[in-house]
Parts: sequence; structure tokens; C-alpha cells
Amino acid sequence: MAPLEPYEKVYVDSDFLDEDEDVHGQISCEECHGGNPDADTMEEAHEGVKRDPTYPDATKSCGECHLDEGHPEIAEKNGTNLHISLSPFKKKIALRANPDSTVGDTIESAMGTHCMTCHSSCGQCHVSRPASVEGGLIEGHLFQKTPPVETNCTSCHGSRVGSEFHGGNEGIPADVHHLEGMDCKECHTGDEMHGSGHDHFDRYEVTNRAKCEDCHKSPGSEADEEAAKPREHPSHTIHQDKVSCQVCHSVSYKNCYNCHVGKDTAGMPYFKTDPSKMDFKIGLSSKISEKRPEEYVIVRHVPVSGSLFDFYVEDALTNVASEPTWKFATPHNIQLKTPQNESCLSCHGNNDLFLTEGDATSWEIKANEAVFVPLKPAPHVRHSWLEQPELHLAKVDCLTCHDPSHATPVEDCMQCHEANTILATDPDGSPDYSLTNWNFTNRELIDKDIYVVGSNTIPGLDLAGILIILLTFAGCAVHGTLRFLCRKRK
Amino acid sequence: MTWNRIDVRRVLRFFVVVAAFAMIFLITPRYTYADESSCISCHTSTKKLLEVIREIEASNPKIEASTESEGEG
Repeated sequence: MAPLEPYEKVYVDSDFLDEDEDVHGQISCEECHGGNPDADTMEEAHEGVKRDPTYPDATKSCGECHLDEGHPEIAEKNGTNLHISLSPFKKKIALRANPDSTVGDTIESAMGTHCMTCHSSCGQCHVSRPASVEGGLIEGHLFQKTPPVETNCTSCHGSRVGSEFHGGNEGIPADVHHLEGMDCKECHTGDEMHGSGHDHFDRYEVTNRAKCEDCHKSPGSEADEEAAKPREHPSHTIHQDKVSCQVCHSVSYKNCYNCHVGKDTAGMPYFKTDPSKMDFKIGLSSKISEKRPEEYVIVRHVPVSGSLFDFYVEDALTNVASEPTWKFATPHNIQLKTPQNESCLSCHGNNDLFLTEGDATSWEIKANEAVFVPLKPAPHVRHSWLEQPELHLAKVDCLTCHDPSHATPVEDCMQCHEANTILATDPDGSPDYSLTNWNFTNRELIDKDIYVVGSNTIPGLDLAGILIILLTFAGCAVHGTLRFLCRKRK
Repeated sequence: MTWNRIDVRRVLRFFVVVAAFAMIFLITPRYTYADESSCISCHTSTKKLLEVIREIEASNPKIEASTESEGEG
């Protein structure tokens, strides 16, 4: 994001005063910002001016009109807007904090100087850049119904979400949704952005949050719509409600470590974090609920550390290990095909993908106990009951035995090794489909992007081959016979 | 009835006045009292803003963010 010149930050476009361009221009400046327009000097004129009259309380500035008309539904619930309240920040630090109230007060003060400055407000989304990125009016004070992505969404959500979504991490492609021309608002609607009306412990608990299923409906879902993209791949049936979408469709993302805050000799606040690391880890969900039933989720390392507030007070976070440092995450770098969804064995048995004790420093082991994945034996060990496990794993597709349409996997050898083998049936078990049919190709399977057990047998092709061979022999025989009969006798 | 020269002048003068008012109301942007304020006269003028900011920067050097910050926020 290009920085603004100082004058650009406060330059008001004269279009703002045109009622047809922006009705807010009809309100006098001092009514929202205060100050004294009749003063003789600039200093006097700016005395008491509020740079952002919408923070922390927008009731007077925005609410005066928007509570009764305009968007009352927004104004009413805006107190629960996490962009303004940063409520989960405080609650999570409180869980890790020293229970001593004096220490608690110091932490709160330090958070006010550092963490809580990364908030937004009505104005800092719709009128200016957020103050945490040095502010500055966007579009000369003309109110923006939808905040611009670059200056207002990714100016704050840039180093992780922004880089992931726009392909800013070296070697990692941009999110497919971005490549399709979508931007933040396509998923994160205004309704979600303005709060849910409830105070939440965690942003993932927000009831009106964006969900993949809003567009990608579950198979058989009543909510299926024409525009919805159905999820027909058998993997969705197998993993639904067990594994989050990102586990299969996300790629490496940024993880942050070891944040410290303090003030320099001039009294200016600073933060220091260790270099970020690109990584991909599947962990256990610490927040399984009816709406998020998945057991396996993506986890991202957050930069919290026990010495975070040491500059202000030692032993501030005595309970730092009470919460995981690898947190539930939804990286914004979604891909249709990823290394882990190439095949079943890309994930099953690939222990490097899973979060284990080896990924944690000594003090973090206790903190992350609940999210570490207990490693299971390698696939060939788990299939050791088979006569030749390696051969089966190499030659037989997993779905042949682990058919999602069956309640239990195939464990009887004779189900395959007999004349009426299940290998000759459709992987979905559909009775109206046979792999020995008159169709020339597997297109009906390939088009649906579903697994093809093996080459099908095409009776038409077989018949044509036999006919060609028979006709060749018949032609030779007729030719020989005719030559014999028509031979010239000497 | 015939029109004398004075009548024609009066009618023309009337239309000129009406046209002038129409020009004022239709073409001029409908600014409110806000455009009369000193806030507007300064904040809509790039020239004035540049002058003022130069003066401010000369007397009060800009306070930069701490150079001790490291890593990604």
C-alpha cells in the first residue's frame, strides 16, 4: 500500500460537499469533528478536534442518523463489532495472565499502548485508512460504502491473510477465489463485519461469519441452489464433519513467534517478533462445536510468549501455557489441488503434516497438549492383516475398500477375489451403473471428477476387434479360394 | 397590437435575469453553509494544505514510529 503524502491525509475533495455525491457533506465539519471554525488561527480552530469522531463510540456521530434510519440493524449491533472492540484479544490474554490484579492493570495498560491500537471504527473503514497504519482520508472524505481492500482490509490483515490471498508468499500461489476475481466482501459481508449482536470469546464463534458452505453446499443439502457449487468428490463424503475444508485445500501459510513489546528511549512503543516461518500443520480442534464439528483443523502458531510484557512487568503471563500457541486457523490460500489431497496416502501416514510435540518448544508442550495429533501407525502397518499389504496399497485404490457409501470398509478378501468382484461395480455402488457397458469412455465418471476404479470393459470395442479379426481371416480365405478357383491351368 | 422597442427590451431583460438565476441554481454545485467555513476553505485546497504542512513540519518535526520495531505485526 503506497503511503500518503501528509497533505493527502487531510485533503477533502470538493465533491464531498455535493449532496448528490455524498449526503454526509451536508453536515457541518464541527458537528462531527468538533473544533472551532470561527477561530482566527489554525491552532485555535483545531482545539478539541476529534480525528475520528466514530471511535470508540459512534452513537453520537453515526448513530444520530443511522439508529433511526439508514442502517439501524448495523448501528444497533455495532457494539459487538470485533473490529472495534477487539474483545477476543483481551479475553485470551486474560486467560494467560497472572491473576494478581496489580499485574492485570499493568497488562491492560500495556495492551492499550500496543495490542489495542490495531482496532478499526466506522470512520476508519468507510472514510479513512485505519490509524494503526498512519490513517489518511480515502477518496477525499467521500464515504465508501464498501471499504477498499488495499487501504482498509489488507492494510491491517496484510502480513498473513493479505499475503496468502494475493499470492504474496514466495512460491505459494494466490487463493483461487482471488484468481477468480473475488475480493474480501464476496465472503465477508457487511452483516458479518458489523458484529453479530453478541459478545464472543473468539472470532470463530461469530454466528454470522463467512463459511465455505455458504457457496459450496454439502451433497444432498436442502440449501442447494443453482449458483452453488456442489461438492461431489467422494472425499467430501468421507471427511465431512471430521476434517475442515482447509486441511485439504490450504497450502503453507505464515506462522509467527515470540512477540515482545516495549517503549524506546524516546518513549515510542515498539514490538519485536522472531522471523515468521512458512509451515503447514494439521492439529486437533480445540473448539469443536455443533457448528464446527471437525476434529482435524489447520493450526497456526501465534506470537504469544511468556515474556511478552516483560518490559512493563515481569511474570505478566504466568498462565501462558493454559492456552494453545497453535491456534485454529483458516488460511486464505485455498487451492483445488494441494500436495495433501493428491492421494489418500499424501495425508494418511504422512506424519510431517501433523502437529506433534516435536513442533513445540519445551514450555509449549503443555500448552498444546490438546491440539497435538496422536500419530497412528503407518498405513502398511495398519493393513498388516492383508496377505500382501504393500502390494495392496500400491495397486488398489483406497476407495475400493473404503467405499464412502458403505458403513464399514471391505475386510473380506473374497469380496474382491471372486468372480462377482466388487471391482466391477461403480465406486458409488450405484445399481444402475456397470463398468461393463456400451459407452466408449469413462467420461461420465471423469466429468464428475470422481474416482475411476480401473479401466472399464467396453463390449462394443471388444466386438469390433473380434469382427475385424474375423473379417481379416474371412477376406484371406475368400481371396485364396477365388485365386484357387480362377487359376489358369497350364 | 404592436410591440415597441421598449417592450422588447423589457422582455429581453426579463429573460436574461431568469436565465442568470437559472444558471446559478442549476450549474453551481449545491454546497451548503459548510463551504463557507474555514475548515472547508483550507481542507479542499491542496495549495493551502501544502503551505500549512510545510510550516508545521518546519516548527515541529514529524514524530516517526519507533525504529526498534522488528518483524511482522
